[in-house]
Amino acid sequence: MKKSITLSKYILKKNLKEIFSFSIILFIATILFASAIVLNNNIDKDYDDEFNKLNTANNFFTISNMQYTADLLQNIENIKGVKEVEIRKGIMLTVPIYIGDSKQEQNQVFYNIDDNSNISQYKVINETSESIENPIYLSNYTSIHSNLNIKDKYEFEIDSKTYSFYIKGIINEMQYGNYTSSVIAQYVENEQYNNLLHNNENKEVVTLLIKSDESHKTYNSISKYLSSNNINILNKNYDEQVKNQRLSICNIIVLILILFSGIMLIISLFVSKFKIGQSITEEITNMGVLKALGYTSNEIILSTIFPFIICGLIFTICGISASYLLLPLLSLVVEMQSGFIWNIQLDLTSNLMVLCINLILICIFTVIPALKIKKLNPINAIRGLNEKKSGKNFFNIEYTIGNINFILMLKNFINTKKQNILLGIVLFFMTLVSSFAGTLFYNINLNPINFINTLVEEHPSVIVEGKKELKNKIINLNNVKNVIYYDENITIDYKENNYKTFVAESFTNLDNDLCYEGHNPRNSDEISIGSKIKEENNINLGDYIVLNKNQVEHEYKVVGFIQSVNYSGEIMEMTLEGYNKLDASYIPNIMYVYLDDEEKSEDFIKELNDMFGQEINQTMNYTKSMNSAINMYVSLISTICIIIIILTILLICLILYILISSIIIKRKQELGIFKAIGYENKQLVKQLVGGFIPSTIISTVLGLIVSQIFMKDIVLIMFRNVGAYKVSFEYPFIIFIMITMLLILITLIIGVILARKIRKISVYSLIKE
Amino acid sequence: MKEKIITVEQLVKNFDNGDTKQTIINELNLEIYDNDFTIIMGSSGAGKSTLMYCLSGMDKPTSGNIIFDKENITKMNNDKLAIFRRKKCGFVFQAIYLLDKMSLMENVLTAGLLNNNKKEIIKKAKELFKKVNIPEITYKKSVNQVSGGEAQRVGIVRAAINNPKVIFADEPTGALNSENSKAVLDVLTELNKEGQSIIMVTHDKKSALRGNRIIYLKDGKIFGELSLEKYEENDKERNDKLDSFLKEMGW
Repeated sequence: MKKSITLSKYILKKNLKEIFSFSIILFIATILFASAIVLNNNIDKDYDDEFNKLNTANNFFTISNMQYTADLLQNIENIKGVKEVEIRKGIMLTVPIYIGDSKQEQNQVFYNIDDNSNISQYKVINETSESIENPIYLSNYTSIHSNLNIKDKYEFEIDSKTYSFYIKGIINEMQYGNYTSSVIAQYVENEQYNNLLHNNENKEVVTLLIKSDESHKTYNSISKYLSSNNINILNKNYDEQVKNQRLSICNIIVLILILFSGIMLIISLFVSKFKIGQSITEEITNMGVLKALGYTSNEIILSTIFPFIICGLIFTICGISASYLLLPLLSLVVEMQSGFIWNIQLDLTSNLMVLCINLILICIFTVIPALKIKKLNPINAIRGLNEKKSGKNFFNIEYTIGNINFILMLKNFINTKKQNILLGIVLFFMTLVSSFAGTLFYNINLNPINFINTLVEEHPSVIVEGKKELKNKIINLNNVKNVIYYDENITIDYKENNYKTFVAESFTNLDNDLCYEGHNPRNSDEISIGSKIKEENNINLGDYIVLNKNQVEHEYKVVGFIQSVNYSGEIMEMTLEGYNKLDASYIPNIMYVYLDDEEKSEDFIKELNDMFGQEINQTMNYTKSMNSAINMYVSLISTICIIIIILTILLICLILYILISSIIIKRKQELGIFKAIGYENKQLVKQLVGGFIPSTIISTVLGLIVSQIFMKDIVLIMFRNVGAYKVSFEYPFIIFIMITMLLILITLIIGVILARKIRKISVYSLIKE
Repeated sequence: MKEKIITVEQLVKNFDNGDTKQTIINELNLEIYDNDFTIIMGSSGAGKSTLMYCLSGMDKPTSGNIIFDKENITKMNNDKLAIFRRKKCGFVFQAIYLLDKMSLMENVLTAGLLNNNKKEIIKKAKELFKKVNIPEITYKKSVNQVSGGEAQRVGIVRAAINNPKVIFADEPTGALNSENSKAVLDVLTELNKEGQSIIMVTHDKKSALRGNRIIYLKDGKIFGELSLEKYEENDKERNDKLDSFLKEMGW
């Protein structure tokens, strides 16, 4: 053992820079991997813990106070599956808020903080003890996105009346709290609540908070009950769906981190395998001498792999420790997307898991090449003869056509096969990763409509609620491309459940085709259904289903399957004509307006209100809201892309450093001979780097082809994770080509920079080596 | 009057070994003439090889000037020196230093193709191979398939392929047996007789006999110099002159 350690020290000292490079790659991979595992293993549990701690409702339904009766509460208590019901009174207002620099409207429910509820409690996460005038407890989500802190002013204007509050505290709750859940809760004290109510009596709502063991089933039963009693549900949700909405981005982050760290881990393992192979070639004579002196093969193998295993162990531990520096950043991203504060705690189980995975893989990847040592014959080894020698002389200068530098470059390529294979593997994976980052960047930052189409439903420029007749007036206005009756608030019963249904006068001229299989309904007897309804009821295209609305039944043919990330696939869509068969009295009053120039939607709304103010109930600048929402993702994806670019360049630098150093060390004398006979430094640099050109081009082009073929599936898998069945992304070939060219260029530039160290070595010293 | 090909003025070469600074060549002045077979001798550590590598632009002196074929090579950067070596120098090393992944012919072409077109250089290489008695079957082989003597003769072909102004030979027979040594020296002598200037570092008296000018170095300076006629075999008087010179030098 002592002998092996001495030998290991020698090998470590000799290959210090290369082993350090391997360790750096492993270190980065471990940071990402450990973060992903901790995030993956904890976020779900911590979310559930917080959910239970605050005794959050499994289902909640917000209805107008005017529709609420004591009987209703009694009846809901009697619905099967309901364990406990509580009500909480609030005021539901559409409040103009700022997200970043963009002003948008948001539904907010103002609850009385002095109401002592048992279900769906809140947690004050930050509070000032000072006395504050007009205090408000703001939701964490609003605090983060509107950049508001304790003592800041929270002011909004409704119906020309200004409401000013000062933030006394920030609260965290698990019921609302995310943009996609469409309603945010704020809390005010008794006095402020009554003041607010005084001016908005008709906006008073009752939230039914329900605890249930069979959350989804109960949710459907209550939805059906309320619908059948003509009670208009202003907002409803259930625990599983809220969790999906809040944690979807987190799941994508985990997936990206695991993919990227996995690739980096594989690369670091190939580096260790390569370096061990190199060490055996370089140290063959010494190994022969050791064998002759009586060292056993196992002792030599152990000494060869020991530096990698020790460095692997040290840098894995360092990586795991450093992951706790990255996790707060990830926690912030999770908090921004979910409104849920994730407190990072030491997770020894996850950390141990990462340590074991890394060490097992390092052992496998180092032992396999080191086993060659067993086959070494001591005499041959002392003579420096490897058992396997390539006898073929490729690209003989005498017979190969071309300039001498070019031929020598080709020879160099053949003579550095192993280096080229390693570089090829790295560049192949880096092309895939960069193409993935490029795809995200193109579809989220440059062409956000593709991302919007994937994650949200129909997105007009402006939504107008008003008299039916308005449509014909609006369509004749300037800048209007199209107006369609489209209602997202209708619910219809199917079997025991009550489902949200999108009703449109026509699906042909919509901006976002939600259908991932089949087609949208074209006539009054057709329907398209969401993925979850399809799976739960085992429905195929062409099947007939009977729907029910207020005791009226009608049979529809299923013609398509649609996706809805926000409603977890529990959605249906039908034509206005089709819906009238269930509800003949329904008169459409929500119009989706599509503008030629969406930038002017603000001006359009002003013009609309000036012209038809009396006929309009409310308007919504959907473009602006969507842009604000997308900005969060744009900044997130930009950050991810920048990180990927930095890591890619760093990885290429480290790999090329290892490869070029190993070539220079191995060929020092040969380079000296070339210099002596008159080869210039730049010729030698070109030869060395030129030897990498074939593998660089082959691997990046292969990466390009694989990206082009499989990127769609990779992105689909990623989005399937958040419930998207149809990804509206584009995969422009030009982006992939640009990435490939860029990688080739970066590789060659870095290669030339690193190979220039040949210049610093004097020809005399090379000869004397 | 002989034409000067190299002029060395106040040449100094120091080696810095951390704490200690060692002067290997100490303000040395020297002239090398065209067509001469110049031998550099001296005891171990006298600076023979260092001087030769400075003269050939392989190593940079600490100070002083080396005018080689009217150009001051001490002012040249590494790339200019490489072009200079390619055009004006040929090298024969004690350790031979052929490229082991190539055939013998390729080794020669690797040097030759930098200055010439392929057809011409292959023709010339074949002539030189014939001159050094390396048949076609041998020069197609790789380095580790031939003897040391054959490899060194290929080293001479590589050195001569570009018609250099000077062939620098650093103890070319140092690693060879007497038979192979003789063959190598014969080739060098033959080349010199044809007009090729040669500078050879050696500590072997038999090798030194081939030169027509012997420079003896001591402590980085020229300690003594002997001029001889061109080499003729079995010239006893030449042998005696060298013996007496070397005795005088303390050899």
